[in-house]
Amino acid sequence: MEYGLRRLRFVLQPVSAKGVPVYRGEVMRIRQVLGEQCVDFNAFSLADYKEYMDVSACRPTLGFRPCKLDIIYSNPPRFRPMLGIVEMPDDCATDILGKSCHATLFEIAQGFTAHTNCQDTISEAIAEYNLTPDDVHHSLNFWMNSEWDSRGRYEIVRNSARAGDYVDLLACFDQLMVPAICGSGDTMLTSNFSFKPIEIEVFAASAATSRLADRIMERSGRYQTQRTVDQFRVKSIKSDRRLAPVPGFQPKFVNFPLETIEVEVPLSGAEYDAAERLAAAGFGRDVADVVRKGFMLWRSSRRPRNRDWSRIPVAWL
Amino acid sequence: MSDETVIVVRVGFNQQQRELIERTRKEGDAGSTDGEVIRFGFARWLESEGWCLHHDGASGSAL
Repeated sequence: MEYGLRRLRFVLQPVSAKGVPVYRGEVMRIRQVLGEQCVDFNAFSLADYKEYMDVSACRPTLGFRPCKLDIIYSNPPRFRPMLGIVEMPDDCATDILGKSCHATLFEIAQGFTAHTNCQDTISEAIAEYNLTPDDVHHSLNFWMNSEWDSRGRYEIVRNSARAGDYVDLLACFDQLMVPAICGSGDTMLTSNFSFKPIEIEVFAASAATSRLADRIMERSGRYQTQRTVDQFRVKSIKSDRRLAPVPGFQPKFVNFPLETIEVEVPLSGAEYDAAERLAAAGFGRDVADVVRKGFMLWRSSRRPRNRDWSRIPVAWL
Repeated sequence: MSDETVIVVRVGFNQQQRELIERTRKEGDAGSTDGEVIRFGFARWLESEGWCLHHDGASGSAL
């Protein structure tokens, strides 16, 4: 895919981060200079910082290791395509399960009261835009060689990034991209016990990248439930810190109260017998509950989860 | 229990679940009423779980 001209290039020195406005159709390249360096990444909508990259919302579809051609979305209820990963080495280890490292982690684990960490690094970078430490969100971690076991515990293994490896991120709408050199890598294995610089480039939109952003938004940004602020019940951003209930507040939950209606289901003797045995074995509270579960499981299996909306077709590149 | 016996079970579904049942019914291959659609899906699920629905009763693992 042909990008526009490079409009920005700089090198992030250890340990720092930089908020970079990247506009629709533009591409940020994050490149290893010497290799073996973990990179944390945040992103915020330039039009409304309350819309930001939400990797947790992407996990049900992408799993926890996004790869080339995956689309990363903003936070629900916006849930708009935000980033397209248009280039990434096959062996670039990503991780969107682990939270960025933070200061207290180093104090507890290693006794540091001042140690570089991604929470503080990103906080400092986004302060340029008047964002606070509370605005740092869950990170998309690049070159984060983690291993998760079946108990949900994880460990960091050797960083496998090579010099020259790069990741290209397409902006689907105008946003502040914030790449950060991970601050854990000198005393943890995250970056093989030494910090290294990272090169950042931004390429202007080309006809091809603009078209790609358009196609992604046309396909994956068209749902009625992708809400905008004007659809929010509370539209303004709270300006004080203390919480207090709104007098007389009445919630309006979706489809509340849910209305259950009984449907008559004719079962054969064999089917009823099976349902009774399943209920007796604990699969359901009673025969009706077993029938409902069985039907819903069949319905789910008949409609395999469609993941197309979270992937960029190769033909679009 | 003979398989020729028909036993009607009343199964509760909320409006969201009924929307799925209706969509399944409109797809046309599972039955013409909601009850038939649910029975069809339930029977297919039993089969997928290894239940053998003999004429003279069901056999299979209880879970």
